[in-house]
Amino acid sequence: MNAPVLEIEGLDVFAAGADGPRQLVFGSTLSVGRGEAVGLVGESGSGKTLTVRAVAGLLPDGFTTSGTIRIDGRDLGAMSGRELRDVRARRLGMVFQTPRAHLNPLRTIGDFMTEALVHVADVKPDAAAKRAMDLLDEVGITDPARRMLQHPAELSGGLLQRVMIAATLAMDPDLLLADEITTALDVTTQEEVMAVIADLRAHRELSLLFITHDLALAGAVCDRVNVMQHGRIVETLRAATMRQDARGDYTRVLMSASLDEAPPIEADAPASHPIMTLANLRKAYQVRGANGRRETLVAVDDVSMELAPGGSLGIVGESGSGKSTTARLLLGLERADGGTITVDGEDWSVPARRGAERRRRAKIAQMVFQDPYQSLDRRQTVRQCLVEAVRVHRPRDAKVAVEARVAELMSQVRLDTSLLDSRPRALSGGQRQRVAIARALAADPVLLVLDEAVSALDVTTQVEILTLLDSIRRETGVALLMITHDLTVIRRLCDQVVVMRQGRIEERGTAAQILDDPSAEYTRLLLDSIPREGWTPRRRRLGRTQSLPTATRSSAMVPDA
Amino acid sequence: MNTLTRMLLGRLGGLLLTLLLASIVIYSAVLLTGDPIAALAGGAKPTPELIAEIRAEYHLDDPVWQRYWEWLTGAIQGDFGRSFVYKTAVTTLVAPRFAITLQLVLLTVVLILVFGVGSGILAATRGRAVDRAVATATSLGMALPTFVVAILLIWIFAKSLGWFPVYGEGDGVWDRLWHLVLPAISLAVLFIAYISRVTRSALVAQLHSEHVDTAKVRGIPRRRVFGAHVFRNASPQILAIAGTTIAGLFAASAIAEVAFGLGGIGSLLVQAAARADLPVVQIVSLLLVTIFVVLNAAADLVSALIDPTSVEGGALA
Repeated sequence: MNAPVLEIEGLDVFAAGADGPRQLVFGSTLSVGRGEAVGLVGESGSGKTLTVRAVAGLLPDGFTTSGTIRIDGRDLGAMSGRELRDVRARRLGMVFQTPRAHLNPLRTIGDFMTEALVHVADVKPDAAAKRAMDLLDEVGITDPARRMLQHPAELSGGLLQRVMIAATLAMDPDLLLADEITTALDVTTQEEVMAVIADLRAHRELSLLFITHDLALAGAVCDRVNVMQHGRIVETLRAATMRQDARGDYTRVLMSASLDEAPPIEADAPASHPIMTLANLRKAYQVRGANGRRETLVAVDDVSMELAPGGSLGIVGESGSGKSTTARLLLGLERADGGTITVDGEDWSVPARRGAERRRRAKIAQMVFQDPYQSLDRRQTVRQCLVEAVRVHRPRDAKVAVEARVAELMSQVRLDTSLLDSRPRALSGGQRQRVAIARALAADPVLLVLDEAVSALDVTTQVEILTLLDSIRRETGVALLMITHDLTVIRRLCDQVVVMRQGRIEERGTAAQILDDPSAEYTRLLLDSIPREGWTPRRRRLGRTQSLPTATRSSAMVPDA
Repeated sequence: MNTLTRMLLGRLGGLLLTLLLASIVIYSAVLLTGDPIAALAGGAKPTPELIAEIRAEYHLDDPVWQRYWEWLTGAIQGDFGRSFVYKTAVTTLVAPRFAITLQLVLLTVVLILVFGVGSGILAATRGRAVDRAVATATSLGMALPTFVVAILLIWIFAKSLGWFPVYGEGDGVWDRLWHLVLPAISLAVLFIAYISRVTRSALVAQLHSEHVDTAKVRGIPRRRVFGAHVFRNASPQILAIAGTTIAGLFAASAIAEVAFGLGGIGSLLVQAAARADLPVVQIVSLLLVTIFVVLNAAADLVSALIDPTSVEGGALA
């Protein structure tokens, strides 16, 4: 094997704790050869990000390490602060998960692109600007001169991620550290960004350390894959043959979670009266366009769909498709400009005004949100949270009856009653989402709206929660409306699917039709963008380049045209 | 028309409206204090002839709205009427006193910015020991009211040590400065503590932000990371608070002026209110409101120049 660009040997990482250091990474050992792409795969808390941050010198204050890190054969531990900074500035490039947070919002793209050149490499500003434009061009950004003058808020997430990549290339690094760089992006944008990385690796001698929770993605873009769990690297596999070679139990669990080819759920015979009907919904917002002029953004345009009692309908779409607005209209969080909403035989086209009416509707439809870390009150114990939710709808029930109902809810979401007195902080992400689901079920609703309810969870936890939701649906007969950007989620949960794009419905059908035999080109594109064995990311089209317009708070109602 | 111009024009309109409303409130508040005859007659029991004379001279028999209108149009032209007590034009009374207050405030602002922002930077960047020390000092500073600080300073530095004068405003540049040091310190202590806290928390938030990680991993020199990313991004927040604080100093200076016997507009306002010298109360109040509103608008404008995304609608692309 050729000389490695990066060698990590026996790396331990410790966090400062109240009672002595707490070890988080245990003897991490891996290497990245010249021109090689190596994956580091694991779930949240596995230590993969700490490992790469130790290389980049970005561990939080108070963290300590032992072990050896070598870049181009030179030991980082033996270097002075100045040498370290220089090696990291010139040999490493790092790209992060959320480009919007990792770019200074007050400075232009041009400032960002040229900063390292001017202040580290002492290049003259105009030479740096010229180089920056070449680099933007290299990562496929059109009209680089205009982009240089724009602020991060004006660009889409996919475009910002390319800017980040272009900026790291300014110093001609040997090694690109990529920490979950596509996790925050839509699946089609993910493919675009990965295609850019693949191009760069082909044209430059660029090595890649690719950190991700997505084993399928890592397998598709890397030469070798390290699987990390609980702070330890448990297995290192050749990507091409990882399905056959995998020995570790954990690797197999990850694999079955992400490389899923289970048949889609079969639709039951459609019931005569749908529990929910949306007919010709329309919602437009007044937004301020790129040039400062007011524009009308039609977020939801002539959308109709039905959901059978006890059925499960998935609305799939990328950012800006109108899927979340549709859910907000349904639940009365926004008022539709046109169209009708019927739920459980009642007209819900106009949001409930009075508290009593809102409570009555809440008994019928409940919602589960994406992020259980934010949707639970961190000061409430699980018991307090559930008792409160039950009391809202049964204010006069005896204490014993409420307790019994809470116990029933806990068993419905398969949580042990010993967790009742824990606060959210002591629970894992999956446990929190179970609490959130139990809270939603407290009202005994006939419709559960799930807004990206598993997107923030690890893949193995996703599978657990999806399986749980499916069995709850079968046991209680609650109908599910799943809003998601992820077609693989649909496969495990939904029998009917609606694909949305730019406020309109592109295609609808049973899960089997949409997933295995799509007719719309856009659906095919979405399916093709999902990483899988033998997948090569391709540049297909120039995606959305502007950031999504934000509706102004006072957005006036637009008369139905 | 770009967003900045639009914001400027909007601000200017809002400013004029605020001032108009303030003038109405001030004028009517003063009316509510009762009949000014007693103050105008100068203590002696006025004869009916004298009362009639005064009423005619000060147009007290005209309808209220007409008197307000004449007062307002006069004020716009720089004529604020005459003091009931000193019988001189209010403007000649206020102008020299305003100069003293202005000098006191400027010196205080320098102290606040140097020590407040400076200690905030130290607290945010020089490790835990310094952070703790600054936190203790600022807690103390916030707990000390201006008049207590004034008494302590007079007692220690003026009475016991005799380094500074106790009273008056002095003549000439250096003498004036020497006279203003203690009042400025007494006025600044509370606000130094406040600005120090604000600076520290704004900087700490930026130091932990992800874009600063990006700059670090790119090897950008530490000085530049601090200047171009940390301090710059924190500055709109610091500036917004500092603007309000400085604007409020013109009113807060009254305490220091009275304690140190400085003839500024603060002490003038206190005296005028005590003697029911209505035209003086009106002009000083209006002046204070104007300064407050204008300085706040200026702080917002500078913030907008530093952070174009803060302008409403600016972040929308």
